Amino acid sequence: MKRFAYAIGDCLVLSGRGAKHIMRRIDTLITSAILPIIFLLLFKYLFGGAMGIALGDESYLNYVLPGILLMSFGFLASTTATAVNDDMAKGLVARLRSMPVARPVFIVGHIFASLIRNSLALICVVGLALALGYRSPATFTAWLCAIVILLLFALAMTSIAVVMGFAASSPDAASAYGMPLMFLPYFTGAFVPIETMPQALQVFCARQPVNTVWKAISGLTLGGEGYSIWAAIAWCAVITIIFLIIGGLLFSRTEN
Amino acid sequence: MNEREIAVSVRGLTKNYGKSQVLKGVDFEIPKGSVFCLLGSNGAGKTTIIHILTTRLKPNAGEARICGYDAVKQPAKARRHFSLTGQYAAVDELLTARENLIMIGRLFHIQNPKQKADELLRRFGLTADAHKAVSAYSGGMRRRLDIAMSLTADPEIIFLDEPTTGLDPQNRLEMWQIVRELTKSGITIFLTTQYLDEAERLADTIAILNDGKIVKQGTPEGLKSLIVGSSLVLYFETAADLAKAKERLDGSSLSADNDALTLSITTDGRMKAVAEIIDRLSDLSVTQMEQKRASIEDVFLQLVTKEANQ
Repeated sequence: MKRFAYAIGDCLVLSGRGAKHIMRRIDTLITSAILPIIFLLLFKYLFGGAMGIALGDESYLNYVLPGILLMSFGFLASTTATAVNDDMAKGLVARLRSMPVARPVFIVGHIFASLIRNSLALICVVGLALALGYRSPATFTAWLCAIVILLLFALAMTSIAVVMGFAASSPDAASAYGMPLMFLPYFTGAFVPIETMPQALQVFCARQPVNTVWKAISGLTLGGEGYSIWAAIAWCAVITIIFLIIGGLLFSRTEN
Repeated sequence: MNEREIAVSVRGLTKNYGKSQVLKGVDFEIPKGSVFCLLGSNGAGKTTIIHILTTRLKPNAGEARICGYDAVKQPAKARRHFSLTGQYAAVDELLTARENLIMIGRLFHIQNPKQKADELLRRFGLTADAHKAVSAYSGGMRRRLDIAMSLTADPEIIFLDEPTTGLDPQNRLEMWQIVRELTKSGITIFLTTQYLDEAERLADTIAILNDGKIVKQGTPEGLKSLIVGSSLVLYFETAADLAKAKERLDGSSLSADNDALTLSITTDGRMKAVAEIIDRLSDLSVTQMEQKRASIEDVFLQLVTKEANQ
């Protein structure tokens, strides 16, 4: 019981550190919001016209918003990977490892900071989309559900980023490792309908986890059918758990 | 020695990385409250020993104990008794010095983290800069903060892994002062260094690590014959003059570099010895002369020369 209380306390201490880092690195915070906004403007004004016609006069902004959010979370994973690796390079991980603290607690601070950045991106992108004419027929409950899944997806991406941060040889490499996560949503129906892709790609895209997540969010916000909230949640949970376990092991490993 | 009076004991420690054997059976014991210095050149295995003792690395064979606890089998218990200060100051640059100390204090679950932080800031002369972000600190201030953080939980043993590497002479002196003050509090200090003068000034016991083995161990006084003051490096204009100089100084500890045309002479650092060398070589084309801090290489050179002369 005492150990559990200590672990919770340690999590709070390191989350506090994460919060201070965000406040003192305002430039990182601003870029966390700006790039997702650029994605949104790009897809609305550059591709929006042609895509709207191709989709049969549907609003492309309405269609593409979930994809932009997923892509933004992938992009933000790089920041976490870099931050984790930076702590390794600076020797802070070595210091914590040699201390009698509940060891995987270190990761919690980074997850907390990452969720703050992701939430900010979410608020900025949805807010701007609404200003540009995005309209959703969904109920409040459906939106709440969509937000929960979005944050779970952000958590999953963050967990992968933590492992990348531990595995990378330098902060620069960690940042580069994070990049592919940003492109995962392209291999779903988030930007163009899967039916328009080559056969082999269709098989892959229809089955990959990010597509399941996208279908749930798109279905919830646009009121479509043929999606499963539980499948989306399960995928996010499985990815998070697997990568957090790997991250915990990497943090507390004793080298051979 | 009584078990309870021993802070660190290492027996038959070996470690391989693939095929290369880094440690080939290391033994030593450190009494509580003393300063132990592990002296060795780059790559001798100093950091490997520290990593094993601080539970980060598993040895292939042998035993490492911290206050009686096995570093391999009881790492959590061992960790309660020591603190590590690495080759790089492990501080959070975005936080202030006080925030760094409070964070570590909270993670150690000590009673009054804030009070402890202020006490350590005072002790290490950082009170005036306590609320500045560490990114604005000088190298010396970072090291001081780093050591202050290591003392947060009042450890019995502190590991200082090459604490003066990369510091300028002034900060090095300051670090020596800090180590001396630490000894007054009764803490056991495990220090590694590449520099002989550092070991001589700070340690109660010096162990020289070479090629994965402790080759000499003793008090600074006991190792006095090995303690060379410095080396004198001469730069020559011609290879012929370099050869002549080697001939004239036959019997001293020399190492010549025929490509760079330099000759390094190990001396006791006294004016008399230096004057004698200058006197003997006064007619040769020496373009430049400099004195270098004695390093472990100089000791080995001295050791080898002595053996050859006997």
